[in-house]
Amino acid sequence: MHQVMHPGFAAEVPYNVCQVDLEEGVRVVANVVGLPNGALRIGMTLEAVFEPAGDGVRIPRFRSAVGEAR
Amino acid sequence: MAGRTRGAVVGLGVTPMGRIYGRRAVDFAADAIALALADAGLEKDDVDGLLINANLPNDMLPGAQMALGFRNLSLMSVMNAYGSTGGSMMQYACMAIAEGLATTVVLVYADAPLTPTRGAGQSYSGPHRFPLGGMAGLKAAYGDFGANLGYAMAAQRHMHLYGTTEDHLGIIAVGQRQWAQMSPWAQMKLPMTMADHHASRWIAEPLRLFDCCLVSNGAVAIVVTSAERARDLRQTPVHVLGYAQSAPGDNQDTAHHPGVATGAKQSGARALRMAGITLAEIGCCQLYDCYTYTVLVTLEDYGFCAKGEGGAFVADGKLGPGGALPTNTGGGQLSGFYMWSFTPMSEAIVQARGQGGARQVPNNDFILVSGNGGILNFHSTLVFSPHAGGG
Repeated sequence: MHQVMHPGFAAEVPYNVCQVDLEEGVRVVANVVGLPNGALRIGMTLEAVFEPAGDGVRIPRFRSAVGEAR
Repeated sequence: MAGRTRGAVVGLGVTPMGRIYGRRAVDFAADAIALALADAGLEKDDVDGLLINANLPNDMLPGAQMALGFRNLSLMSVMNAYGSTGGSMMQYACMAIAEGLATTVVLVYADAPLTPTRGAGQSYSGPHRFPLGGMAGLKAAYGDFGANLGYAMAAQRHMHLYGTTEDHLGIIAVGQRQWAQMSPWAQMKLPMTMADHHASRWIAEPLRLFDCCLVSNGAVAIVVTSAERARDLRQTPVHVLGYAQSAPGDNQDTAHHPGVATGAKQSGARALRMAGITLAEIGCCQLYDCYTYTVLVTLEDYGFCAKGEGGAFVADGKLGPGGALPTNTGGGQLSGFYMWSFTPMSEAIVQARGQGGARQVPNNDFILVSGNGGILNFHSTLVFSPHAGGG
């Protein structure tokens, strides 16, 4: 995402937004962390990380799990 | 043989479009309605039906009927299925006329999100559009705002599955800019090459600025009546031969590739069946084009080509001037103006009347018109014709 759709993300662009299918059968919206945006690929294997999102809140994001999952 | 007419468009009013400040949406609506009634040769008190299209700033509300000065309405509603609404409004107007609820129905879309300090990029974004409370706050924490992202994901998925390229999207934008140069209403008239398209800035990859629609201040009004009454009026009637909608549910769930298949498939088939024609008889298309990708996926779902072949289908420039399937001949929403489905409907009316001037298409017997809303979640289809049809 390159366009600043909300002023809270003015310093974040370009950032990635992804849909992630969980093994439990649910699809969630999230971000992938720890990889350059250009390295993201549809279908890659990910694992959840719980990251601080301000005000003491943690939210799930995802990182590459190549060679680790299943 | 084509099916029978279901109603006739007899008036069209299009205000100046774009950065026109200091006026509210309802002011533009009043202007467009006055233009449409003058076009039809009708007076305001001849109108007994009013269907108002809701808009994103949510300032076209039922009270607009008072501000617009109608006194004689037996049919009135504000309708909303996002960008697909206009086609549904046309459908309901024809049904209401056929059922005797009203004789003469005005359809109107108006919007004025642009201000001197709020340009296109900010007009449908920012804190006034995206409150951060509740579950919306979780999406917001990921930076998931607005339509750009949803359409970008759909286009990305289409590229991944089928090898669709930036050139495939670009040729749509370039062709429509060529059309826009021949339309008096178009906001964007500077020539655009494929290189210009590829050099425009990213909005949400793989969508660039020139893959995205404009934002417009302005209004469009359309007057609909029975085919019988239309014969006595000023303009060549534009007959509605087919109408349909489809809302096929959530295309973002785990059962779907997000945004790769749309309600155009069901809606298009129904509208064509009602019109009694096949796709091969369509001489021109006016397709909802909030993004270049929307045109491509709509062509596929209407069946002009197989799923996944939209890129190859458009690659020869067949949608542009001189092409085999003239599409969005007023520049569409990408280069003309953005009035939800009133953009494709208005251009279809011009083409069906034969009033397109330099951009008039050679074959206007049957014109396919689409509306699309949400992230490809709502669809409407119309078939327009200068002919009243058989039966």
